[in-house]
Amino acid sequence: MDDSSAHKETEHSLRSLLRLSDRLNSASDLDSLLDSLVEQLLELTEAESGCAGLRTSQGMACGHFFLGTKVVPLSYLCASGVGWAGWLLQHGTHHLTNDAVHDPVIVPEVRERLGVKSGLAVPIVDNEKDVIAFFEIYNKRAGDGFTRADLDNCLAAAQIASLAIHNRLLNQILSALAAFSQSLTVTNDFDEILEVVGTHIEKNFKRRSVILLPVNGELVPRSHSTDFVFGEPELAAANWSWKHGQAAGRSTEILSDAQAQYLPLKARGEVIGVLGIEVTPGAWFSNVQRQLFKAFINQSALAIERGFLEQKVRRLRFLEESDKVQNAVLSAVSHDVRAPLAAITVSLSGLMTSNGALDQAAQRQLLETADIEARRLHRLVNNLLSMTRLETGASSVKTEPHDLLDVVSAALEELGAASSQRRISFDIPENLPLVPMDFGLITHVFINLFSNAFKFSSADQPVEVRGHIINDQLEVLVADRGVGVPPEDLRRVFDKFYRVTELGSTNGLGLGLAICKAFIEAHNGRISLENNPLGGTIVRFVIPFHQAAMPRVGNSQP
Amino acid sequence: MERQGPRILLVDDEESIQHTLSTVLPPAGYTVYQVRNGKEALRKVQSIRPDLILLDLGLPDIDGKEIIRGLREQAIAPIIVISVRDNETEKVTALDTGAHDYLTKPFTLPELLARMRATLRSVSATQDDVFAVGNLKVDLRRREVLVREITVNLTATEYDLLKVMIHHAGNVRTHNELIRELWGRTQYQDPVHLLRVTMSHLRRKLQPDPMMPRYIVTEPGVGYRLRTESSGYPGKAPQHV
Repeated sequence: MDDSSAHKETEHSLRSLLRLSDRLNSASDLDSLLDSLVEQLLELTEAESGCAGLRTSQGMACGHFFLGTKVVPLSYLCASGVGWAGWLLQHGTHHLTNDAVHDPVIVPEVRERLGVKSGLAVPIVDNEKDVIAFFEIYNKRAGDGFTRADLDNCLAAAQIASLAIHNRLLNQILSALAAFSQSLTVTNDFDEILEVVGTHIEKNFKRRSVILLPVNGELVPRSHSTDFVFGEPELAAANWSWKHGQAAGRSTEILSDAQAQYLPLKARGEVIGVLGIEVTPGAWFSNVQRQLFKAFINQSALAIERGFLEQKVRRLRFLEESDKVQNAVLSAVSHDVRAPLAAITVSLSGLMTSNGALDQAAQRQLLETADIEARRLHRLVNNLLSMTRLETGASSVKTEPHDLLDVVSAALEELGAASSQRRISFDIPENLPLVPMDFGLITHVFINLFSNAFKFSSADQPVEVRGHIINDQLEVLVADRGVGVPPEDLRRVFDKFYRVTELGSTNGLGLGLAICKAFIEAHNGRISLENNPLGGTIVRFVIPFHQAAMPRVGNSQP
Repeated sequence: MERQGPRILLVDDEESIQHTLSTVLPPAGYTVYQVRNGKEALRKVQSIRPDLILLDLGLPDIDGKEIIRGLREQAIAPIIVISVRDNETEKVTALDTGAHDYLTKPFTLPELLARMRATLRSVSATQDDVFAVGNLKVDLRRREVLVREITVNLTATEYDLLKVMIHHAGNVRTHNELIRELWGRTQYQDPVHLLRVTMSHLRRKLQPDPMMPRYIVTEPGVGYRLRTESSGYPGKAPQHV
């Protein structure tokens, strides 16, 4: 070779390498980058055919075979030591042969499909000397074998490709991270956050994962990929990682018999949980992937912490809400407690200071007032106590089989004069069985329903009580012919402190029906209110019970 | 001055109750002896020799069950428990331990006086032949039950139940006491339910209208009480259409 042809060749190589660099850096994705790489290599070395591929966790994958400008549909995965690509992985350096027919390493199918006689395989290594990709070229078009110059050009090309691939991978990470962050940002639900973390890890790393979070000081698996088997060794490794703030499990020196590796999730220097990721023996992670994984872990930790904080905020908001309710209770109660107290105090102090100025009838009047108000106060306190006890779970209903008529009677008696002046009709069958209920609570339900019926209907209008057994339920109706409830208010009448505004009633807490609802629901029953087609309202409640479970009742004929 | 009338031992640590009861009971014919804690009650009960003990269960020094047992050991006087706690188990425990009756605070003076009378009468063991309250009249000698002067037919069990209630009129009878008195060592599978059903039949016959005040009131979780004219029966039935 003379000087000028050598010069020409060098110039060709340089131009070709520059074009290679241009094309690789302008490639839109990794696939087109690898395609461009092979095409430029064929131009650079004047080889017939070639291929390029990326390293995966399992080995070298290749799907980019070129014959001239024709793409050959062929894809294979070489584990370490298998095929030229596997050989590169094992040895970390290039492989050049001009006698491929006798080469023991080449994949026979590749040799036959592409008619390989000579070839050059080159690893693409990153800046940490880790093999991340490779390419192979076969058969110089001139027919002679590959030369030293070809090798030098290919090594240079490999370096250019390394940078380009690295950049591409970094881009990939950034978009994966961006997608991850995006998904996390739009999630508000805590469990959803955990799910997003799991699915993104599975998508980007093809690994199953588990997230463990402390519950009452103990680490428990909260979310995991399907089929993730979580046994004793896993929990031990996870706990170690949680307590020490370091990785544990498979591929670490601590508790390595676990099938997954456990990494602490740290937020603001504190370990808030542990992420476990399944590790297949011998599987490979690129540096870039490792960086991505680290970023994922950090992002996950932050998102989970955010979830924790949001839960806390929600709980605070809930407390605030129940505070509001409490304040409403307090103001309502203090009104309804003060009113009877005021009447009692005025009556009694009036008597004490009258010095004989009051006649006997007036004295009696004052005493009666004090007595009635004291009873009202007592009822109110009992109602509130019962409801509070039920709501806080401090007590439960004490059911015994009771006679509905007995309960209704007790309620009417409690209301005293208010009830004796009313017309009340009863439609309760003679043979109505005893129904399990809490005597005190259901009596209060009737007291409240009757009080409302009396309060909101005029004294000459009848009040009707019906009681029947329908489908193993006691169904009770209390109907009045009063003013009724505006349709828009029907839904809210059972709310605490709700009063039908139109009625302008200032008497009462607006607690009556809320208490009824609480008491009936404590019996696993339901209560509803509708307007009576004849005018007024009908309150209907049901209490479920199993008639068959009640002991049989004998005959009462003498 | 010689003290007159039945002697009442009032065991309550609450100043206001002590003060009120010692004001209102003497005009009703009772002599009141006040003690403020369990130890004092146990120490003085033998020298006071009361006819009736009013006992608050929430004493600061001795548990309710223990003081009932201690008082019963030393005195034959019946005990009426007065307590601010409206707890069924506590009532049943007190009654099973030997208390005669139970009254939940707040109570009215007529209620208290009625219980006291009923209790004193039941231990004096004299029994009238005729029991009457409201529109109900029972002639125990002739086994006759009348409501508004009309004979009511009761089954044998219903009549026995009514008779037992009349014997203890004014006082609460627990489920267990009633079952024992009606059926002895019963072989019935669910005697409480049998009692309830019998009671509900009896009540419907005595009081066919729910607007009428009840003769026999339910003490939830505890038992029943037959009211008397002087022990809380609210008077004549209201007139209605």
